[in-house]
Amino acid sequence: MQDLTRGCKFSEHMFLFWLICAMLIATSRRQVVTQVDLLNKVRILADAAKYDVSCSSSGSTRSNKAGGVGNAAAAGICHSWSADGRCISLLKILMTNICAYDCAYCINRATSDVERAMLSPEEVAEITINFYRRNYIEGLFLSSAVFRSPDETTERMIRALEILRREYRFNGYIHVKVIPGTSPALTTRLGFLADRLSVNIELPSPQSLHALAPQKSSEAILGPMGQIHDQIHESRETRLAVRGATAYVPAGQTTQLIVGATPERDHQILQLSEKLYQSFQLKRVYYSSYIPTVSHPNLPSLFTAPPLRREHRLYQADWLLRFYGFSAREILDDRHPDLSLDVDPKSDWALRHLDQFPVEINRAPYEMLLRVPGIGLRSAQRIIAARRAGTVDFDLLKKIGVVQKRARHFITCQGKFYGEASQDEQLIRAHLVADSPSGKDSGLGQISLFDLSLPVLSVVSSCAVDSGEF
Amino acid sequence: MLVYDFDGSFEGLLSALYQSSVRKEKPDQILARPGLEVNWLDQHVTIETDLAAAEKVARSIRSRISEQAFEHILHVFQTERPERGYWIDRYVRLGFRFGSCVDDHLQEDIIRTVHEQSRRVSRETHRMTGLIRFIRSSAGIYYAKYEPDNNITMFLAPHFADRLADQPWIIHDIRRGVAALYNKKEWILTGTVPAALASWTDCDDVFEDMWRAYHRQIAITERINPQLQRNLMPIRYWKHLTEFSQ
Ligand code: SF4
Repeated sequence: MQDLTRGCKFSEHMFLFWLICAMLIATSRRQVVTQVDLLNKVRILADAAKYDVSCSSSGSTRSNKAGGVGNAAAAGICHSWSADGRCISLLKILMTNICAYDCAYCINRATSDVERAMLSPEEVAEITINFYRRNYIEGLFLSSAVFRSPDETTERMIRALEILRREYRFNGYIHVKVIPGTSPALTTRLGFLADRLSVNIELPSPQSLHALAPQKSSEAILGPMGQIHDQIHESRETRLAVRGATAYVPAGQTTQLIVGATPERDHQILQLSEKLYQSFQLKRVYYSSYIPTVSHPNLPSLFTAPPLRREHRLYQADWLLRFYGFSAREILDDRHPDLSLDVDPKSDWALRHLDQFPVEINRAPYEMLLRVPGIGLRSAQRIIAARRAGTVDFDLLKKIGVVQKRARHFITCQGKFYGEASQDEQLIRAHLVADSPSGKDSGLGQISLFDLSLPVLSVVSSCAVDSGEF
Repeated sequence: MLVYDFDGSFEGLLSALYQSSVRKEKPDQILARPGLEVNWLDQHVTIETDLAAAEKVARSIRSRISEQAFEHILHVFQTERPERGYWIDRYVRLGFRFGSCVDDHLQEDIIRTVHEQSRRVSRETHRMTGLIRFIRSSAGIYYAKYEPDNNITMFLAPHFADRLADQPWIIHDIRRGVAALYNKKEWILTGTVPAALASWTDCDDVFEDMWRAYHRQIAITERINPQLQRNLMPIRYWKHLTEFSQ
């Protein structure tokens, strides 16, 4: 019977042992070491790292090894949310903000007047393991300014990771940002210690990069991306042949680009992302609204508000690329170079393709359901399930999570249409804008991590009835 | 109204399902005895927990409906809602009618209710894998107290037994007086925890200060949005979070 509740065993004897431990704890003493200095460094280097947008730690599943500490869960886990509403999953910190480079958009550039600090590899490892043991974090997201040279900086990061993996036997999640210009040999070593690597594109075109970050070339960015891509591939092959071989970047690579600092249009950005997903098999592209921290002739003025809504729309469009079967050219083209700020990208696409609608909910293929505004991944899967069991009527749609208000203009249920006019773009657009949760999503940079843990519901099912008594 | 009452345990509820099949009855409610107010207009049947019968019911749910259905039932039970007995009973009846297809039948209100309740429990479990905070004692024991909406300690423990395998820990649901104890080898669930355990707080741990400093620092001032923060992390959970204490 105990098996029913998954191996919960109870032993009086063991509990006594625990009680004694509990008593011991009451005598806990203050640690004498003065850590004020370390605290201050953490403050400076967390501050310097905070404009990195990546909070996702998903993509890797690994059970803990015997005797070690840590595992990586496949669906990202948020451990807290900061006052700006962003998920805190990883300890995101720079090894140092002392930089030899002078990128115009960066607060840590060599000529900037900020407080500087540097953590030793030992300190990085110690803070990470102690945060992890208290369950503050899911793992480490380490990056760094360029201290003297890319290679010297990377050596220090490798050292920190080696201490964590070997001495502390830390098995949790590690994401490292590769410094452009790091030698291939060091990138390889890094890749065998980390779960995820990212090389940041930073700006959406080589011209912009040249204008604002003259010490970084597109080759210095695309080179390592290509290398990591090839090595991930190789490592997968090796691991098929040799069981237990160390994995190289098992959670894949990601990148980040800054939106709003330079004149690129949304369609250029989406085409770039699509190319990155296709040719480098990136796991994610992160978009970060440019927040002016420095004044520079080539940059928006210090009083420019960060384009948060645009960033949000880019994330929605990115979602369409990765999960909804859209191509970048379908979402935007030369005639429509920017995402609409009024309606979400899927609605905008549907409004421009009214000839494909309305679709019948009880017959449309899964791929088409996904293209209906107001129907998400989960509700499309539920529609498919409910269709296996019977017919789907309009009332049921709401009950299984479809946004009826939005979807009604684009569907029929058992032949009946619930919108006002099926082909009138202006009218439908006006309805969608009026019904949109305008103020609600304005601060939303990234879709909540809970949305990432989608159910692995199969669209095809084989189910059976077996009647009888117990 | 026909009311079955059981002792409040999962096995007790399964015994009630068994009895309803033996007696060929369809109870209107299946309620836990502790705290039950008896209405003299109702017809009451007191169910004795029968481990062998419960085992049988569990086995047929898993084999004739599905493992997933059994998982839903386990979750719904831990919501501790008074309707849970009714929901589970009706779900199981549909399950025996539709077999492993039962979860496709979203047209049935009861199926959607069970999914929704089950999802509430999984969602809270997932959320708590992040929001549990351990305090470290000088003896090297890690202690966490929390007050989840649902009784999820048994779902959380396996996650931490895998993740924090090399440190002894206690996860204590102080509202229910339930705790999971882990000794670096295996974990147990116990309902007898000394209340004094919950008053463990201060350990003058430098990493707690560091975490608070980090948490404050990492927010981007230009994007401060307390409403969003509270939507994502409901304020009722803040009480036991290190970053908001002191
Ligand atoms: S190399 Fe990095 S840290 Fe240094 S100035 Fe450029 S962006 Fe900033």
